[in-house]
Amino acid sequence: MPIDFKTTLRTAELACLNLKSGLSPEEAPAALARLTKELTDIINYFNILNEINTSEVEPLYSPLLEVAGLRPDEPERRANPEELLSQAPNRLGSFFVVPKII
Amino acid sequence: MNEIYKLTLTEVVEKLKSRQISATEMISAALARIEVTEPNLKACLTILGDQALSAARKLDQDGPDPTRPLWGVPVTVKDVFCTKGIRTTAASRYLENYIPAYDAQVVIKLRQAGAVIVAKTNLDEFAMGSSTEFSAFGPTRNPWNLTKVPGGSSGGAAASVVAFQTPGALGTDTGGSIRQPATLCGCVGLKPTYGRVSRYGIVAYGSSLDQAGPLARRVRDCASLLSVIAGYDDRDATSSLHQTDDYTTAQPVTLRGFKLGLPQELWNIKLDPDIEDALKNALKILEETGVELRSVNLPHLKYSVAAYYILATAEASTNLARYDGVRYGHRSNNPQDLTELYMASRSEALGPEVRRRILLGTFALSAGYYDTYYKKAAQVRRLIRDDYYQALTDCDLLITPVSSLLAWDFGSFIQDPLTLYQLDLMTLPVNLAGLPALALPVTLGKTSGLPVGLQLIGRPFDEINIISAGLALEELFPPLR
Amino acid sequence: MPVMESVIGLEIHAQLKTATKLFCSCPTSVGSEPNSHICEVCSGQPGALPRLNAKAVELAAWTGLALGSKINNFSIFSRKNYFYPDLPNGFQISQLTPPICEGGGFTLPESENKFIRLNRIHLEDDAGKCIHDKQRGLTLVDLNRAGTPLIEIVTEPDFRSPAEVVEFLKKLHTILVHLKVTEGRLEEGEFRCDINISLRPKGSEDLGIRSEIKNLNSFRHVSQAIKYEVIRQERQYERSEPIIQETRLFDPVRQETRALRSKEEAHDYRYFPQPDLPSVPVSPATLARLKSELPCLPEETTMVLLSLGLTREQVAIIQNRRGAIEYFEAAKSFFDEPKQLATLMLELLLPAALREDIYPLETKCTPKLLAVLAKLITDNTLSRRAAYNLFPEIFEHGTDPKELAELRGVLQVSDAGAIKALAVDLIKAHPNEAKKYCNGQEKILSFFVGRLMQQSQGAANPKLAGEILVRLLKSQPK
Repeated sequence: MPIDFKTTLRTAELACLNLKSGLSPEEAPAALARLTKELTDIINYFNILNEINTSEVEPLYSPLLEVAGLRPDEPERRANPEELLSQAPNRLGSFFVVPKII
Repeated sequence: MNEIYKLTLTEVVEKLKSRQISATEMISAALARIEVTEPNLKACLTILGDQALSAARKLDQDGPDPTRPLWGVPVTVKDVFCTKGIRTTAASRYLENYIPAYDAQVVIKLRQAGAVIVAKTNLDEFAMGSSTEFSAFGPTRNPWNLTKVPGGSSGGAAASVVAFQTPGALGTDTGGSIRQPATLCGCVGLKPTYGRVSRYGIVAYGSSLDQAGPLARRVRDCASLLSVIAGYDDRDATSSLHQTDDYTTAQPVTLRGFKLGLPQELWNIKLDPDIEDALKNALKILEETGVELRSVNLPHLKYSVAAYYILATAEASTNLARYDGVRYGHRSNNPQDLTELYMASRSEALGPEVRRRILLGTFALSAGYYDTYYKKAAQVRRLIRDDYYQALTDCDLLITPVSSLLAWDFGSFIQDPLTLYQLDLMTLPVNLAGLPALALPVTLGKTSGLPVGLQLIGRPFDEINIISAGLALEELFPPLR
Repeated sequence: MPVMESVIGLEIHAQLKTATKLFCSCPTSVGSEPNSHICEVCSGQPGALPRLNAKAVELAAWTGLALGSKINNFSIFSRKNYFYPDLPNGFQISQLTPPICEGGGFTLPESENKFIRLNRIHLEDDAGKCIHDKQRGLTLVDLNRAGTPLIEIVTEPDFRSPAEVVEFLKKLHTILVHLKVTEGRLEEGEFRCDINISLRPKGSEDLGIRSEIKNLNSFRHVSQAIKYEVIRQERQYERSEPIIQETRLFDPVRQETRALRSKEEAHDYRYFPQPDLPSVPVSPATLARLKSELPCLPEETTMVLLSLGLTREQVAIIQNRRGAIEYFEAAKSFFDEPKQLATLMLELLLPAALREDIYPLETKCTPKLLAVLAKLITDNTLSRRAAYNLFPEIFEHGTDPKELAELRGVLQVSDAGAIKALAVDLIKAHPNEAKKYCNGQEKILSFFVGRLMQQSQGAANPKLAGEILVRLLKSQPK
């Protein structure tokens, strides 16, 4: 499954990454090509998994052997909201701020 | 006693308890040692001088407390453990100025036990890497040879312990990030069973693989640290209710008749000649001591790197989605709109390897590829886990190399991610299976003079057994000097 | 063009009535300062981990039991990944497969007892809120709501008309409020729905391409939005223009639905099992306990109330108000006159409680006091009007109605002797009017009754007074 420029760009868009960040317009195409090649090599390597027939195998998403208990529905103070807000790179009063969403 | 910084953790505990040294003296010695070694080593991202000293003075005022097993002991924690009021960066530009509003559970446990955190150690950004070269703040150097990498991602922790900055450290291990640097730097590193130690407050990389654990110069020191940090935490739904043992009371196993399984698929891999030589010799010594070495098989081992990198990057890609420039961390200047805020903040402040892994993980989960990659990898994960379980039914523990390479030169693989990933083959299947494993140094390579290590792998929650075996092996292979 | 029929399915979100959020211990209360109810978990700090609220699991399972769903012993949470400022982790924690409940449904009595099937009920956390500050050209983010527990109830595409949809939603709302699963305040968005609509030729079994109308929290708007959307799609078909699978919003001012920008449609949510949460257990023991705690369903209570002589409207009001049924039952245990009690509740107690924004049972007018009041009226000891005048005092201070009536001197005189004496005097004083009565002008009786009430300062029992006056007037010499 070779991946092309379009797939790389589409994946980057899903991941909210700008692949041209920090690159000049001249550098960008080569960098994108190199990245696409790297990803292709790695994903081709992933295809080694196709050698195994797993049709009868239940996926294992976590090695945990147990079922977790649940939390009682009781309020409890944890991190201080003001301390959390103090980390905001941009705030207005006690709101976090982002550019206008149309 | 002008070299108290060289004491092992167990010795430090004894001397503090008997008041031969004060907590302030011990912490001062550690801070002084850090000051001396840091210019060359670069193991620490944040040094907590004043805070550590005032904590030590407070301890001295109150006097030693028998209920606090690490009373006055200086330790470092990898900079992925959230520390309230203390910068926690994960070695990323994105979190360069991030001050958590809460403590990681293991940080709370360390402090409750009387330990004093003197520094936060370097790592590959977000623990993604095996050399610390992907740290946004520059790499740590190997204490044995400053031109070599210390391994990673907990490279700062391993280098720090080996350079006697502190007698013990906490790291995290997602695919070998404790064991591999421990081996490359020549100390002991323990990755506990998944769920043995709370992950609460640890900057997440691969949530189903991450586990915190100790690094120290002695097996017993790792056991002491594990005793403090192990146990159920009701804030981490994946932490286990399984009973913990008192690891500090572990005794060396009787090696005569002890059954160690040698996974053929791992021992058949081409090793660096120094490693090959050292490990063959080590196995011979073990055999002569009466250890029963048995061949075992891990038929699906060769798929583990692919399965691991699909699962780990998939989990990472969404664990790192929270770094969006809105609530904390780096924010791009004057973004035109929301999309640009996201794109620019993330791209400017996340390093190339982190971005690469986010892309891989996003791809593996995306529409049309999920079944082929993510689900398939999870199925293979079960096969690999079953292989390890099966291999462990026939022997007490498994024994394997930790790394096929000695500590390498800076820059060797920086342009070759796939090769770098494949180097994790000895360690990462253990994380896929969730098993406990101990890496311990064996000797220095004959020609290189660099540390070589072995890995012991046990059954789930059987840390006590790998520690006991580690104590016995430590008698055969004394700590490096 | 063939005759088309509309095919409609619903996704309903109800906010669960829990004290804390779904995955952290922050309170769920609304109306607080922005970002005052946030912690490391619900604000998406590095290293924070979710921990599932047991109550939310029980409420979801309870809903499933009440709606006839199968409750899964184990269900799984997944991450639904997308970027938005109100989503602090970059993913929502929701359930894909298996959800906590599957199947179920109920009938619609006013739609020929049609049975609507449920596909599933699952748990998920709510997002925060974005507030658009037009003046500053900014969007402000408040995460107080982020992490609030929701259930999403997904129906099969079984509806064919807006009337069916509205009947279903009203009934579902009544059930959920009655079960105390949700407060169900529509204006707060605690019960809201998305509507999937497509058209197909009548008789066809295929499903056409659907549009989804998001986020409606008014039954009226639901009905209006469906009507508009059906007409819009019909016109598309008439013009042979393709229907696009898209998300639309209803604009109640313009009475139309509008497509969201296509960019927001480009989602690929990359669902995968949430590795921080092991599977969710609902043990057989828990299930058995939940079953035993399940109250009578509104349907059963409705039958009981109707059989007691209440009107359908009265029943509906009592059922839809939180805590009203409990109050009613309690009052009835003191004085078993349901109609009288219901009237007092509907006209006095419920409006007053609503004004104060408290539950009926929390008011100072306890069920016992209301029962006393009802008895005084029924016994003709207190006029209805006097009772209504006394009520604010009872509601505010919890004063005993009988003592209060005595204090105010408004207990009715049912002493026939005293009333007769007044009546005799009255007739003597107004001979002309009395004569008119005898000549057949019977309407003039009300004049006498009014005067008598006046002279007794309203204390006379008017019914009794009327009877005595009639007797005296008829017996006077012609």
